[in-house]
Amino acid sequence: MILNNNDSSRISGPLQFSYPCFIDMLSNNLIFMYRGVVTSDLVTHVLQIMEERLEEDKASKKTSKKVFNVMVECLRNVYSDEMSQEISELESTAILLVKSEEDGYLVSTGNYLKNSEVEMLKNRLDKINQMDGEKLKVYYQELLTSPIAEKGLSSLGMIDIARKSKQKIAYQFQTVNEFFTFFTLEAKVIRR
Amino acid sequence: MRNLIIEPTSKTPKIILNADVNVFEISGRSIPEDSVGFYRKVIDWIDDYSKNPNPKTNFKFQLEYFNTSSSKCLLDVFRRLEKMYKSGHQIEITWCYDADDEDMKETGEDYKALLEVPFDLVSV
Repeated sequence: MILNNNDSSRISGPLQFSYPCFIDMLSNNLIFMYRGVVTSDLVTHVLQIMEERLEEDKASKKTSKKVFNVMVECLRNVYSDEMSQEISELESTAILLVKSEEDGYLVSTGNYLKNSEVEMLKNRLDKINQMDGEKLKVYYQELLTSPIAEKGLSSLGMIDIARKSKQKIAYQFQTVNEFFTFFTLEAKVIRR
Repeated sequence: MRNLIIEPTSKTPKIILNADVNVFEISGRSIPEDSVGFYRKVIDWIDDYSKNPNPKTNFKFQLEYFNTSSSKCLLDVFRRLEKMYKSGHQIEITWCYDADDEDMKETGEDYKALLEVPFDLVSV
């Protein structure tokens, strides 16, 4: 059945978005999409749903495990720490997309950051993206053994994404206004 | 001493630390909200156990996947075992990984490289 956009007597309000959204997801092979606050409980639920979705999508156990690992670390980056007082409501909401492609899965997260956080994050990602497998291993072991704070843990997570996906981490910063930037991170897991 | 048994959840691994039957195992997935708090119990138990350990201790790890904050905590657990080994106790760590899980194997190799304690990698 095709929806008639002009027929406002039947579908109104937010419901009119469901069909275009569905078509978008279908044509882009998006097998999972979430927007909202990311909590520890949510991560567990997402993994449960993804287990089924990946099985439906005929992903091997090997591939699924890699996708899980990468998702856990990607979500950690957009994790909202309820204890933190510095995070605004805008910053605590994020998007997660998983796209099935012929040769693998694309995991992408997006969230708002303060403009002041951009440079440090960009440097961290560039540093990791310049490293090959061996260098990543050395850097991982170095950070694992150093008494690190939250920032170091975030680097550790990114190295983990790079090592497990064996790909460069794609990212983008889009300045929203004088306070905020939208940060998109993308990691690809090759089907195996 | 009292044994430490923790049933697995969707976020935390199964813990069996039973000195009576000489079984020491951590298995499953580890993505706890508070990794430090969770592994504190394990570390406290080892600290207590190290005062009067069994003649031989084989600590088995069989993890499905874990987050980076758990990886720091696991290192702390290994460090405790390493300390026991260095003070003359017979300690062995067995790191089990799924035969087709190269990442878990690699992670085991990372730990092995960082520790001075017998550390076996076993494909299961």
